[in-house]
Amino acid sequence: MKAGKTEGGARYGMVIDLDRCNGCGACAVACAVENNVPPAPERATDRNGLTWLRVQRLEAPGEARAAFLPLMCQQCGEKTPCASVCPQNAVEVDPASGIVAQVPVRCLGCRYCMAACPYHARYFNWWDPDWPGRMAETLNPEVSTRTRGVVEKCTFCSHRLQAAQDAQAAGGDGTKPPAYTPACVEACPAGAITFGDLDDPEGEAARLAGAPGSFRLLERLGTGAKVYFRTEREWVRRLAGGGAAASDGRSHG
Amino acid sequence: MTVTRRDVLWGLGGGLAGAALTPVPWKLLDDTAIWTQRRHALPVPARGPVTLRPAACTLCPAGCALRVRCVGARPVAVVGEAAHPLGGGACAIGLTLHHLAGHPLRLAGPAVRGGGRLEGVALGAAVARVAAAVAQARTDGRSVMVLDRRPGRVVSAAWGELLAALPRGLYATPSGEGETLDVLQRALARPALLGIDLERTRTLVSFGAPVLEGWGRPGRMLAVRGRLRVVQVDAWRSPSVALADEWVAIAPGGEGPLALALASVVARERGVSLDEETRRVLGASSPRDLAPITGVRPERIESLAGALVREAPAVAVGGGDAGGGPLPADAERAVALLNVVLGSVGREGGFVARRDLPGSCVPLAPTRLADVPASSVGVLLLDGSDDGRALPWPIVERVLAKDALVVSLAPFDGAQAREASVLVPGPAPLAAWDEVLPTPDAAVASYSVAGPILKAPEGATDPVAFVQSLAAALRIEVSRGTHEERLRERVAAVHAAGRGRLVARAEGGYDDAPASDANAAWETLVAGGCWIDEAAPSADLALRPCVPTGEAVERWRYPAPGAEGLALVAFAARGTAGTTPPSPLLTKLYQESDLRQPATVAAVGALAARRLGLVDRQPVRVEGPRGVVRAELRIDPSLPPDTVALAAGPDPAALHPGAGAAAQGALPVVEAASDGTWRGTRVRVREARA
Amino acid sequence: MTRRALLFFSAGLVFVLALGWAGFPRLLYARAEQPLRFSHKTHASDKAGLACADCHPLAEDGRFAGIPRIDNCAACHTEPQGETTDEKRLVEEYVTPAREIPWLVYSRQPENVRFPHAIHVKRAKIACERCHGAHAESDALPLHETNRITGYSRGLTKMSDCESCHAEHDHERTACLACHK
Repeated sequence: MKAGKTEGGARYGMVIDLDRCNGCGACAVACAVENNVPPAPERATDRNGLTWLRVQRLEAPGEARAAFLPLMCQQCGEKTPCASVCPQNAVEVDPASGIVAQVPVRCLGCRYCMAACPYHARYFNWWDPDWPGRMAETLNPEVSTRTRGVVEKCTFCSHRLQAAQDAQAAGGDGTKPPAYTPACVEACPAGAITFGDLDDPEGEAARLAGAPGSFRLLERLGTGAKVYFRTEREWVRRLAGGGAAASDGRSHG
Repeated sequence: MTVTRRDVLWGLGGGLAGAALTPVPWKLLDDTAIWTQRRHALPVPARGPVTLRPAACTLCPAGCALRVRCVGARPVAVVGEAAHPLGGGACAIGLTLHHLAGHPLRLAGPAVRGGGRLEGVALGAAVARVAAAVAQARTDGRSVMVLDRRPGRVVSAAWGELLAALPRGLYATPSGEGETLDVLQRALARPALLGIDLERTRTLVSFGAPVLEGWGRPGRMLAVRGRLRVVQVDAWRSPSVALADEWVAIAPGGEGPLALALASVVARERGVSLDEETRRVLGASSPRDLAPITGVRPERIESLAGALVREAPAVAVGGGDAGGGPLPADAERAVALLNVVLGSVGREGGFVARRDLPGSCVPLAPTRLADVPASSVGVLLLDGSDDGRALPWPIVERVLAKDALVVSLAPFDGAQAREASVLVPGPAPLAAWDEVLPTPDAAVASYSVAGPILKAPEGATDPVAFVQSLAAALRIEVSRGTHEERLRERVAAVHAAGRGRLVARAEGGYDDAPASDANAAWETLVAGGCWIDEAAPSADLALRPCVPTGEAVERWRYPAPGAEGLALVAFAARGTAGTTPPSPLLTKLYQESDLRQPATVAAVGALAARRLGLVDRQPVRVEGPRGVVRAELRIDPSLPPDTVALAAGPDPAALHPGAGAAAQGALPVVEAASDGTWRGTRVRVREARA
Repeated sequence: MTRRALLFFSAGLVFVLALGWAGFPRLLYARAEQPLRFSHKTHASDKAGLACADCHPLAEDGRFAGIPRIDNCAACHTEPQGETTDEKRLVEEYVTPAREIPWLVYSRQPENVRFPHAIHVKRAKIACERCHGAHAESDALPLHETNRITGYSRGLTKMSDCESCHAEHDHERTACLACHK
């Protein structure tokens, strides 16, 4: 397993504005459509569902207001908990993009990674995938379908990155890491998600991630996650575990 | 020599050694390992060139502009058009539009229902059967009714032509989310079309309308949300309540009386001069008079009214929601009256006049479904379009005569089509021609056209073609012209009006694209463009008095003692309770996460649960006047006492087609009142014995 | 070991060796003929003068066209250009009714593999022949053999082949995401 970042590589990350998210769930559905995630059988529940991206509800204490938080794999940095426990080497932090790659065909389904993930962002295929009717004709050829018995998770739509790399090569466009848009970012009607290379100083994602008030979930675990959140509502920040915004602008988890 | 056993053993030993030197054992091991992964027979999606084709969503009247990503000829994904001038994006349900053409409930061709089974028939036979029933209805003196959920399309005009030639032809529409505007329009002294100038509104008071989660054009609401203060009046903690600036929690049925009480305070504070009738009604509707039935304290009503007056322009909307259905007529009149005394009719930021779409397709004045006399319809034709709202069968059944023939043109089985004896399915979403008309709240008219992306299967019948076949069978003259030709004529009429602007879809946005002729306009529209009207000149929007009936006010002032059981609050997200089945992928929101309450869950307040002796997650039966459904109980502390909240969609049986699940949710249980509402249903919730 | 034992041992050994090396492949691989006889040599020769990229182009967005569709053949073959029966069949059975030829694919990788032709052809500048062999010389398409157990075609490039080339030439790109989707 290679550590470190490739020369000329990127570190793709996301900044989610919790004040714009209205809990519509379009991101969750777009993710499932894009990544060939099968619909649940009748006996599935929210404990064993397959939702690479799940929108969580944050209830304002004692009030009717709610905020919504789209939760997917936080794409941890080098100290990725799930990668270090996999007996099959099926998880790897890609040095060229920072994406935590999961290779389903290598997974043997021990679910150690699911236990290790502090964000509960990994999901197991409990059942054979079944697409009713002729729904299988709408599957995306750029993403492999998975059998039952393997773990899967958000990949920051790495297949879209691969397609962008192909287009860049075909166009002879140099080797700067290409810009691309994951399905959830594209689908959000409120434009709540910003995506880009966190190491690109001119990029919007990098700017927002470094801006005062941006925080990550479970910061104190030091996972090096690449998904940042922003909100101006103190109660949302507290519920999401962002801690109080310190006066120097940096959040303390 | 004779071969001994030892020889054989030596031979086998040699064979074994030889086998180790061949590729056989290693290859077999390897290949079998690969086989264990491939034996699951996962579908292999076909590859091909990727194209993006324009389309519009047909699941609700918002008609959001879409781009469909196709691999070869197969649609694989749907994306909303973020930069659309009328408001962009697509909701979670619209993002699964491309699944619907392959849904198991999709009908393959015309069929007749008999003995609980569907039997395929030829189109001619189906049309003949309908024609015979129409002739019979003529003899029996019964009406022939078309129920159109999306009035104003060229298909609607075709229906109108057919019905106009019949002695008792009725063109009916169900009540929709524009009901408040309809009521105001009917009260105008001079007829005009109204819209809401949301871009300049300061306060939006919603009486049960899901304004923040599937209302009007959601993209527009997202764009104006930052400048708007939303006060949500709801009996339960709806998604709009969770996002609103203020929640006014009412008892079920409190919408009308609260609007009336607010109107009386507003009229007093603003010193509005009133006519005799209105003054009398408002005089009897002080907050103290109506507080009990609303469940809101009089002081709160006073302060809320004060806030509405101060934070003008304020607009009040009703219209009900997709699962709970329309508000009673008196409640709508109260909401309309509140708007009148707020002075929001005919002012910037309030209700403004808008022009009608050129080439309007409403030749026959629509009848409201609630106004159709009971048992008077001999043939009911359910047009295949969907407004995404629930329509419990008893509401429709009320108007049907004995042995009436019900014909469904929806592309799918399920919902009302289950009650139809003749089914003539139209093309499924993305395989049909469709138009996007202005939503009820639109401040200016707009128009766009979406052409088919998929080839419609052999068995699908275009609705215009059906009307023409039926007319031919009945020897009625209707205009020739296919669906596409009629759409071209309409676009030509829009172009000929010579006003408004045409925008074309371009890379990264929309550009103005004035058309030189009707053909150019057609090309622009079919490629994903849109026509947007100009603002109408200010019109005289004087109103006649519009008040709830005296009888209603009496009922509100002196509510009847509590009836038995719990009040049922039915709800659903727009697009999940209509005639189109949900894509199975919606389990992501309704089953595999707890983001939205599914129809398999009945929510009650903590006290109600305690009184009924029930605990969280317990299986229960919800018993209504018409039926019983099973559900899982959840305790929701925000619910008022004696209330149970049950979703009307998506139907779990449609989310898992083929699982043979029984129908669940509110719809099998609700009781339809004669005014077309089902909000007054009362149910019992009991423990379910396994 | 007695001579007799050695005899039987060797007999068993030779028998199984022959079975394993010659017989087993015949059993394991299902052979199939392509629907038409296609001569790359004819098409690449001066007569037609086509280069690889004329029928197997790389699209602008980086997608590789793979095996050409019928409209590619129809560009020249609306009428028979030569005298072979196969070409006649091409025109009559496929070009005229615009029917896709059901070619059997030799190089179809498993679904979880992503082979980016764009990067290998344009950036690494690897010649087509390097991986696909000297097609320009072949007069007929090779026999198509499918492994009956795995379902993949014989001789399909394996992960070890990709790995060895990458280890030698492209140390940077040996992560999972370089090749898997």
